[in-house]
Amino acid sequence: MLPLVAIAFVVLLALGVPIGLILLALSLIYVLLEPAIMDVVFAQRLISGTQSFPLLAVPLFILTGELMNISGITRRVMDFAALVTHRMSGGLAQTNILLSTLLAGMSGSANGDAAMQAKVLVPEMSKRGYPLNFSTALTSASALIAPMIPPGIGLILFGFVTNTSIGRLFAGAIIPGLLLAAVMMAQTHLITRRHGWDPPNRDKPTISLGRAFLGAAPAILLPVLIIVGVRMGVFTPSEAAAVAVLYTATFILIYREADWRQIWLALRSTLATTSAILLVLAASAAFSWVLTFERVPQTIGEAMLTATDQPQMMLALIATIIFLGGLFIEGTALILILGPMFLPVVTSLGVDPVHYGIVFVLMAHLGGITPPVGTVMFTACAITRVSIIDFARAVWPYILSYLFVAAVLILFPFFSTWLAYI
Amino acid sequence: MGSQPTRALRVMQDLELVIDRVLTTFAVAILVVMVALVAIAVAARYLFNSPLVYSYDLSTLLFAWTVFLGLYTAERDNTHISLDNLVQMAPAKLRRLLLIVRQVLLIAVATYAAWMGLLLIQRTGMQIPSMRISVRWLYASMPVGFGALALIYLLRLPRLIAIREN
Repeated sequence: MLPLVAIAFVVLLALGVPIGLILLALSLIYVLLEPAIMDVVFAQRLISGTQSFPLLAVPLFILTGELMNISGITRRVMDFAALVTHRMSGGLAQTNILLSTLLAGMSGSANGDAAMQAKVLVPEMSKRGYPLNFSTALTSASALIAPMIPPGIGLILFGFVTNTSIGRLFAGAIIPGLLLAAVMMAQTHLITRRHGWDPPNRDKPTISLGRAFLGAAPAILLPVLIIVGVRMGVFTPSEAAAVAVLYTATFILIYREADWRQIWLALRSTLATTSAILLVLAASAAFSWVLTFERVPQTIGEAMLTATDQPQMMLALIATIIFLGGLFIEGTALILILGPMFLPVVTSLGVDPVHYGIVFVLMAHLGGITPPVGTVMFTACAITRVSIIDFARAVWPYILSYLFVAAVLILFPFFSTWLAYI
Repeated sequence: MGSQPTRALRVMQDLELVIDRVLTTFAVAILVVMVALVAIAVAARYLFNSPLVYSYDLSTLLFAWTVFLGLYTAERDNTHISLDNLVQMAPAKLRRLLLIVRQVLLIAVATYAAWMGLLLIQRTGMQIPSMRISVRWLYASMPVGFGALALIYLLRLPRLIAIREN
């Protein structure tokens, strides 16, 4: 039975059937062949997969990010980031990374971040002589910082499917997110200086640092508000997300830069993204119920434990599996399907769930920029019209440094757990 | 080829657009109400000290409707998570065949899911206690959402078959 299901999965995936529907189709095979599995109970599992209050944080944080990009906050944060980095070599490239980092607190997904920066920053970078494929690769790589620094959709979903505290995951991911930003900035410094791209600008800036900071403050303040609020128990992550939506909507009212059409498109995009994610989540919730009949999680767990029983090696093994899966499959799907499956394995070796979660989510995001398939890469390349091959030529150094950060996080749990447990 | 098939294809495209308008408007309206409800519930708890007991159940009920109605919008906006560039690499003849096979499969799976949802509605009649409404209000989101998804897949099938003629 199981080999048949595995083959069907690969064939349907290659055929381009959406992953949520693949899981439904596979369940259909089970329902037809196994009289013990009732189709109606399966349908009920599917719907109840959506019936959870913490999941509301997903659309709410996506909406926050969408609204932020049209509110005028983004432009102000960009002015601030450009001011801070203008004396560096490769100033605009650094702006690109810093902007992702600063906006991360209002943006929960890498895709939105990449789309916005590919539209706004990449044309400016081209004017200053950066090669187009480098700008696109940098934009995509730095966009991966956004979902690590809270709030992050990946962290919320992981916390949900593995029953790990979302508040702790948020807090724990701050240092890894900043570490990622620091490593990318250092690397970008070396690359731009070697090629002599965008030399340091000695001109006097037109606005003062204080005024620029004031413009960026709303974006920097929000993640602090969310984390402190959630960790102090003032509100749940979903409630924090609703507050974040109102917070951002307030700035739309104040700045008056967005029109109704943009607001409609922001809502529509939130709807489409949420629905796509939740289809996979609900279908995998229903499908995993089927899988437990086959004792699949136990079988996989036992197989992995025969490979290694050393915690760090196990995390490295899992990171490798996610990396390989991420070449072809969207990270969100990996989080939802594999996240809970590997959990008992790592906890049996004494790995902290928050540590595991942060390594897992970090690696799952990387799938967004690794060719041949990656949603962040597709988004950015579609906007800047760079081919996947040219993109790959420019992005590999960033993938290597990303893997370096992952290795550091695996070896030193401290980076992920310190802020999570205070 | 005559203009008859072309016109039929155009009618289907128009129909797809009209359904999109209706469903997306509904789903977005529900989304907005859901956001407002969660925000009001926080305010009610802290500012007025009177928690809304039904807010959890109502907001998750609304959530199910946004998710399932949004399936159609997600298909239109191409946000469903899939690996579709392998098929695009296939030679033209094979690609056309694969796309048609895929489309038929999609129609089958979405229809099956809608059908399961209908069965579920028929066989349950419980109430959601906090709101005193039938749980069918929740379950109905599934057949409606998957029904619409099956419909858009169906509306797009003739175009895939007709591609060679254009």
